[in-house]
Amino acid sequence: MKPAPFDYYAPSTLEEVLALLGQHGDEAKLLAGGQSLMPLINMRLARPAVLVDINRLPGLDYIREDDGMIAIGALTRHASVASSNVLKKSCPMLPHAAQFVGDLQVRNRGTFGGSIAHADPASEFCAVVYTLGGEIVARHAGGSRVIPVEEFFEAPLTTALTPREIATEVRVARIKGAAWSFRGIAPRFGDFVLAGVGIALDFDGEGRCGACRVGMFGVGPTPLRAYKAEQSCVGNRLDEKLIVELAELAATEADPSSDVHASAGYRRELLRWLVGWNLRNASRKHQEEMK
Amino acid sequence: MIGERIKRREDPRLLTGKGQYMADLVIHGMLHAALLRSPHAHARIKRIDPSGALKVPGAVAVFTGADLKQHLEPLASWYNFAGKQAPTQPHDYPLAVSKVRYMGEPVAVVVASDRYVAEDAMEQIEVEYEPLPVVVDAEEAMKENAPLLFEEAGSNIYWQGSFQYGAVEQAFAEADLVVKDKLYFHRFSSTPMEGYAILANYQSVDHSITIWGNFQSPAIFRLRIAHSLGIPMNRVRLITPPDIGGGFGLKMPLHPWAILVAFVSMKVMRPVKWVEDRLEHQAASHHGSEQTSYVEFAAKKDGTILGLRAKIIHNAGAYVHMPEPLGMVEWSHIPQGCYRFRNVAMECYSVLTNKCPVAPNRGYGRMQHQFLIERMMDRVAQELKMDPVDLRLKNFIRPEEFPYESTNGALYDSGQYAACVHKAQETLDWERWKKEQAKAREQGRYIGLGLVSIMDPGVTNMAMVGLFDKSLKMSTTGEAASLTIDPSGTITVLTGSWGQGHETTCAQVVAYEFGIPFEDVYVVPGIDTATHPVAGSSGTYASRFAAMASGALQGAAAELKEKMIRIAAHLWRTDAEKLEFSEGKVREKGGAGKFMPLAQLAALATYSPAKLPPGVKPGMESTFIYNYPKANEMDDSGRANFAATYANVVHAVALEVNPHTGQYEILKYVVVHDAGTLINPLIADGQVHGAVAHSLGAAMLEEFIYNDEGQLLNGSWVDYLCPKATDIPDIEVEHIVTPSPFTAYGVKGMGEGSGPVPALLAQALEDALSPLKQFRITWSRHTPEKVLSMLREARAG
Repeated sequence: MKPAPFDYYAPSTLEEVLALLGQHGDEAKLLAGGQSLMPLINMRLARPAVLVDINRLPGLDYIREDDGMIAIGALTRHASVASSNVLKKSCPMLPHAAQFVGDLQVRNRGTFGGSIAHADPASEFCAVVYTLGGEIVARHAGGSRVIPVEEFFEAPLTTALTPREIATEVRVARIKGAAWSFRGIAPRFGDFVLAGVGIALDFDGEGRCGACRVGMFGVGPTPLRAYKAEQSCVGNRLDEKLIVELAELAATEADPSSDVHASAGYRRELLRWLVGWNLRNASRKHQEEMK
Repeated sequence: MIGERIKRREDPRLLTGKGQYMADLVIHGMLHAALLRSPHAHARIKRIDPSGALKVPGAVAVFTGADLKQHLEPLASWYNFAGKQAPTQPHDYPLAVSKVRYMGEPVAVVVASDRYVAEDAMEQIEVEYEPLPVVVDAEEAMKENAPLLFEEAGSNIYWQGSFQYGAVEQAFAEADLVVKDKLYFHRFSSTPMEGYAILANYQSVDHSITIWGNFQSPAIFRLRIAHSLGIPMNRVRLITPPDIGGGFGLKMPLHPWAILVAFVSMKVMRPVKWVEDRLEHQAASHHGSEQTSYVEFAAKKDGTILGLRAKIIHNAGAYVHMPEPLGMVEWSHIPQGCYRFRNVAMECYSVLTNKCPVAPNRGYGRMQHQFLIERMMDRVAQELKMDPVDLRLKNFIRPEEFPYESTNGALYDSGQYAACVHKAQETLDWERWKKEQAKAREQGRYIGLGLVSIMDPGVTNMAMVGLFDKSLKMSTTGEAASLTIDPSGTITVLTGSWGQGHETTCAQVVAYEFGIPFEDVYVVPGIDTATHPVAGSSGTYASRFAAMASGALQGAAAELKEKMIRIAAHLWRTDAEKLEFSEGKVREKGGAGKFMPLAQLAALATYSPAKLPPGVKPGMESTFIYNYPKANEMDDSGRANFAATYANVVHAVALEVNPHTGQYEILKYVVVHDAGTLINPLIADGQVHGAVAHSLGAAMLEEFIYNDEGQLLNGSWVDYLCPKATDIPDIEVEHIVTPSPFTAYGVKGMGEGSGPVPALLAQALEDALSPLKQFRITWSRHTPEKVLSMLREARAG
């Protein structure tokens, strides 16, 4: 289990990184926390000819409120996400989700930008950003662009980033004021989920649902939104009948597959239950806040 | 000293990163090997061209199965001890010859300057395969038209045998009730942190070889390794390093890889090292064995069990590596479990399939038998509407019946099974959970209770090999130890030391024997066949070490104490009978008179032999080879005392099922263990914790999953899920001490009492769901998905 030969660069400026990516294109891979990439290259499932280690880049490790969104630098470690007071205040779903990512060692090394760019369909971080809405700032030698998260995830481990681009920042919508809930079911604590759901919803003064976001992960090729369920939610009271209907609806919007861990059918059943559980949990939290 | 909870002497080095494992071992000039492995489960090798490998800079040599076949003897089997060939596979070599029979089977070995280069070079070997039909299911493999792994054998059945003890026909004829089931025990392994690793160093000057490896039993297989290599046994030196990153039986078998790496070292005349990586270990090392059983239990209406009839089919994988097929007959340690029924018929098949070969794995062969017995006890209880605990209590062998010769001659030494059950119920707070369960049911929640009782036998009497070939007459259970008292009065112990706290427990025993401080005894870590004494069955396997090494240490200590008394008697011109050894010295009985400390006696024996009485040899060293006094040969009716000690254990659990997801949470877990006298209860607790963790992993998470093409689908730790700390509940451990009447200090082997967990969880899950439906769980791994499908089935009516 040793990697195939590769050239290794450890540049200290973003310009050098972009130049290397410009030069090597899809022959090159960026190495950040290495928590997904290193196993892949050790097993020779990935064979990049060039490894560009970006851990020496300055100024990419931050979490700050910026223009109504939360901006997270690509080299921010999971452990920082888990403990960030900014996030706990303005986007608590992210630090909550962080506790389910791998184990302490993984969280100390893994980077937020790396997780998003790796685009595992069962990734908690991809799911949260996709659920809440956000955008990814991508830099290339010629400039930069901002990719809305809805356009970012294309397939398992495949994103809209080109081989010559690097994600430098992820911007997530704030959910202050919205009731939220997040829960996945994994074979063991810290594993990739079999199914997971994140929910953020507003209630009006009458207790009816306002804006509603239902994100699902581990049940399709990318993170998903249960748009039909979201629409059916708006303007209605979240009673038990509606919750059951929404859960059913969301389950039809998922696209799970079977593997050694679970069948597609089981994943769908878990998803159905998780949508209901999270809706009830969000509603309960809202009622508690009202008191 | 014996019975004290002394902290393990080994732990500081392990916890501070100073352990010495195989990967830490470096010799000047050492090369590194990598193995090219088959991607196919069954294929003919049409062409193999290794030449490309040698073009990679740094690559030194490459060998294939054809080279091995030319220069080596095939791997040995038990049959060689009787001068016979194994029934189906006379041509088993450490690299595939002409055919591959499981995914991951090595087909070529490359040696190079380092492992990276070796793996690069390995990729340049061209192999052309012709895929052949695959068979992964043992029952399919037994069918007449099944693809054959060894065409020349004409069958995939490696071995079959039938054994009958007691009056089985009569028992079934007289039964009020006969219950039948087909049970499946799945394939998993205890996944040590460290894989196999070998470093071989051949010396052409004297045609000798030193092989370092994480062997669990170098003593047993040294002869067989020498045989394959064509080197006289006295020139084959095997060394186990001080630390092994877990063995659990998987490092017990005859190491094809030791022979392979040794061969390569002989060819390239350089030291060669190979360290098995995680992917190699998971796919192609050895797995625990998989078993399908057709079982019938005969019982009376009052719950008295009369007998057991079983056909068991053991999926052995593609090759049978010693000590296999012993797993097939390990039931002989505990034919009737903890129970009094004496009519037992076993029809056994060891079947080859295109899966990874199997090997001992914590609870070897006995887990499968315990699963079978405990599941069928529950089945009888269900049919008779009896409480499963009451059924067990009714059928237990009674304390006053010990020593109890079971139906096949296994001599159960001692035990108080009912007392262990009562202690387990009390510790779990069984009655409180019964009330919680009733309350929960009213709320639509599902709490289940479970309790099973099993044997945790220690030591294999090699007489067991007679069960698959009567001409194999063995009776070794032994262990060896040597003690040297130096002129400073400290004691050096040489015996097998392989982890599991042996350095600590052996020191405790020796300190106890001589009445000296624990710190004055040093147990040399690891084992080296050039310096350490061994018995015919030395090693760490079958929970044997504590019971057997204590005998060897006690024996060696007795010889030295007697010698010192003789010397003192001679010096003092008195009778030896008037002297005793106590508190580190020879003294006049009672302790009020003359005395002489052991340092002085050892110095005298070392430096002043002229002072010794006639017939007493110089020096203060003793080597003792102990064999269990009740270890006999198997008789013609297939009876022998197949183990030596017969500890027992009760596990009890309360769990709650989530009716929406099928997940279940363990609310409380209790183990009550009786392993006789405990040398160190702290280490015994650790053994119980480890055994439970392994078995809970198996019962909840772990399974090697193959598809129909023989591809292993979960070959990495991303997909093969071992339990983590967060998955293991608190385990409350209690000990009951019923000493063995036959061993030194009454010690019994322990540490494999993990067998019952798959049966325990099955019972508790059936109990939890019983308000919905009376389920019959016939499988051993209980995934939330399966539990949810049961719930769905129950709701559908």
